[in-house]
This record gives sequence, C-alpha cells and structure tokens, in this order.
Amino acid sequence: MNENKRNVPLIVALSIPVLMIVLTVISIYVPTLFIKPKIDFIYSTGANYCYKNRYTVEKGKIIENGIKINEKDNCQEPPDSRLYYYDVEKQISLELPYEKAQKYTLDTNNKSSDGFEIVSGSSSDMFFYDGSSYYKKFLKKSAFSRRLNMKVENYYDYKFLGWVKE
Amino acid sequence: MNKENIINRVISLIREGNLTKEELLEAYDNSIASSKQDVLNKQSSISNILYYIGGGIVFLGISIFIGTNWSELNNFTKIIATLGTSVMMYFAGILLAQYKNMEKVCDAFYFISALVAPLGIFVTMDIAGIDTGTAGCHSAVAAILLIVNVMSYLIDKRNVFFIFSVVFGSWFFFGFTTFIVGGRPFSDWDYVKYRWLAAGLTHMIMGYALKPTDKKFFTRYLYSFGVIEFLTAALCLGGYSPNQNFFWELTFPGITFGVIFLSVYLKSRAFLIFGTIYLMFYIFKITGEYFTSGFGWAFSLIILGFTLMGVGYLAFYVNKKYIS
Repeated sequence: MNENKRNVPLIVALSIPVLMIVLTVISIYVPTLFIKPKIDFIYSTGANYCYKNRYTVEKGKIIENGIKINEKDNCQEPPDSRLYYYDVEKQISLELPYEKAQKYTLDTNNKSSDGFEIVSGSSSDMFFYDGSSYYKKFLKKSAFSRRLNMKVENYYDYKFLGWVKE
Repeated sequence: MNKENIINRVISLIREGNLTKEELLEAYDNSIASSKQDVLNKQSSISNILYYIGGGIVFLGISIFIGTNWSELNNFTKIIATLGTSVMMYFAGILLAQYKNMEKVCDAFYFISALVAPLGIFVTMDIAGIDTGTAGCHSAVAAILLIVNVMSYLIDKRNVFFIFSVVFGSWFFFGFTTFIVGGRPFSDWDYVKYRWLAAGLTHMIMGYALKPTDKKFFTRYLYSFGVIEFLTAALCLGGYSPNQNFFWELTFPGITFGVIFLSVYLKSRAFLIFGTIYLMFYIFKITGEYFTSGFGWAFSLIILGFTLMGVGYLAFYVNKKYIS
C-alpha cells in the first residue's frame, strides 16, 4: 500500500502529457464527427512571384485574363495556370477545364454561407519550423479544421476563386 | 576547549574507569577512516565530472568530424562514425559494467552513446531519403531513444539512463504533439504555451515523486526546470496589451505566490528563487503595459523599484525562516 502511495505522484506526472495528447486528438478529430462542410469551391494554381494570376472572378463568373509581364518587376514567365474544383465531401481536387468552369456561379466571400473558410497552416512551432506548413491549406470553422488535398506546390501558387453556389 | 584540557579530561576518564584503551583506539581509528572516506568521495566526484566532460568532448569531436567532412565521407562511413559509435559505446558500457571498479566509467560510455545516438539515427534516416526536419521524424527518433533508455533503466538502474529517459520523453512529447497538430492553424488557443505548461507541471511533479527515493538527487533539477517552464508559459499566456489574456494576467500573481508558498512546503530554494524572479518580471510587464502613459513612466518606475525591494525582502525572509 505504501509502495502504491509513493507511486501516485509519478503516475500523475506521467499522466499529464498523455492527457494533453489525448485532449489534442479529441479536439482535432471529435469536431469532424459533428461539423460537416457542404459547399464546394474552385481555386486556381499557376502564379508567379509577382501574383499575376490568369483567372479572376467578376460578377460571380470566372474570367480568363492574359498574362502581362512587366519587365521592371523582373518576373519570370508563370507556370501553366489550371483550375480545380474541390469536392469538400469526397475531399478531392478535380481539374476543371475553363469551358466547364464558366458554368458555375461563385460566391467570392472568404467565408462560405455555412461558415467555413480556407486558411493556411501554421508554419512555426517552438522547436520545429516547418515552412512547408504555410502552404498547406485547411478548411476551418471554429474548432473544426481539416487538411485539404490540393494541388498546391508553394504558398504563392494558389488562388481561391470562390464558393460554388447551388 | 584546548588540546591540553581535552587530554586531561581523557586521563581523568581513564582513572575513573569510564574509558578503556580499546575504546580510545577505536575512536582514533574511526576518525581516520571517515576523513579518508571524505577524501575518496571528493576524488570520486571529481573523476565523475571529468568522465562526463570527456564524454561531452568526444560527442563534440564526432559532431565536428561529421560536419566538416560531410561531403567527403561516403554513406557507410557516416553511419559507422555516428550510429556505429553510439552502439559501440553502449556495448562498451555493458562490458565494463562487469567490473566493479569500472562502474563510473560505464556511465561515461553510456553518456556518450546517448548523446551520439540522435545524430546517428538522423544521419541514417537522411541517407535513407527520409526528411529529417519534420515533426513525425523527430517523434520517431525520440520514441526509439526513449524506449531504449527506459528498457536500459529497467534492467540497470543507472542515473544516466534516467536522465536521458526524461530528456527523450520530453522531446517525444513536443514532437508527437506537433505531429498530431500537423500544421493546423490553432489560432483559438496558444497551443505551444499550453504544452510548455504541461511539461513544466510534469517535471515538477516528477521531482516531487523522486524525493523519497534514491533518485532524490534529481529533485532540485526537475523542480528548477519545471518551475521555469511553467512560469514562463503562464507569463506568456497573459499576452501583451492590446492582445492580452485577462484570465492569465489576473491569475499569474496568484500562481507566483502559490509557487513561493510551495517553496516552504517542499523546502525548495528553486521554487522560491524563480517564483520571486517571475513575480518581478510580472510587475515589470504590468507597469510597462498599463502605467507608462497614465501615471507617467518615471512615477511608475519609482513604485516598481519599491515593490521589487519588498518582493526581494519577502524572498529573503521566507528563505531564512522556512527553508534554511
């Protein structure tokens, strides 16, 4: 009995980090059981350092723009721009030809009508700086956050165009 | 009492029959033995320090060798020089443990093995094409080393295994939680600071758990590290105006006074010193946040100075009355 009593502080000490890990897992995965995103969105990739994006949205419709290279900015030719349709329920990105993309009407607000927004990951942690986390995109609403499977290679490669209206 | 008085006293005790020749000689022999033991203990602790310093220098040498010759060495040599050295040192420790007079030297070899092991595993993973900068990789390395050290401690209860179990366990906790979070934007709560809070609390309670055991030597170090981690996290959670967190800003003084009170109960100077220091930091912070524009900076500095003098005196009084 004395031996058990002596071990209690050690058990308590070791329980604290275990409890923190369990709470972290719960706070990440439990909200996903109750909060379900429903509204899909469209995004484009293919931009250069000077943010000259090929696709923009005007009056809810996707417009294709020409790429203008300003020699003063010393920018390189941007990579090939592509459009993607993100299905939030299946969690997949599907490449979308421009002709099909023109059929959709988009809501360009940062937050969807059901309260979700797309945010970048957190790149810094006290010990582990992971710069690549910044271009990981997450779908977020209060405690819910889910990593998006997007075809994004670096943080300036992505442009959110809008939420798909029904 | 001078020597002559003592000798006269001994003579009178002998004449009264209260002290025999054997008792006198036994007392003399015992005093010689204990002073010899003191000298041996001092020599032994100096040797231990030199063993560990030597071990640290060996680790430094290996790291510099790998660092400066990285491009010239082939993969096999890199692994042998790092992981191979760690494994070799570990087995050398096991072999030397068979000899009673080589006990402390074993510790030095185990020490080198534990220091070099993370470097060895990272080098091996890097050569295997694994990205070693991620939290997942750090978690895996820390988990491997934690398991090795805990198993070693369970078999052979050496202090060196215990120390590295705590170190690798802490590393695993931070790495694994970062891995679970996976870059998620935890903007609603200060996750990093809460982890430090948990780590600090764990270290302090672990120090308390070791007090009645033969590992009580580690208690003061665990208390020191734990209280620094805990109070730093609690102070940072308070934030700074205009983004302050009122809950933590208001409870922090209570926390520091709680730590100072605990120093009396636990007879811990670390709690008293760091509780006092962090209370001073808090007073500085609050003065800088809220009193520089209203009362004027100069006036608030005067109040701050007197407050710090009061806190310092409180710490001195508590130490003198309850701890020393």
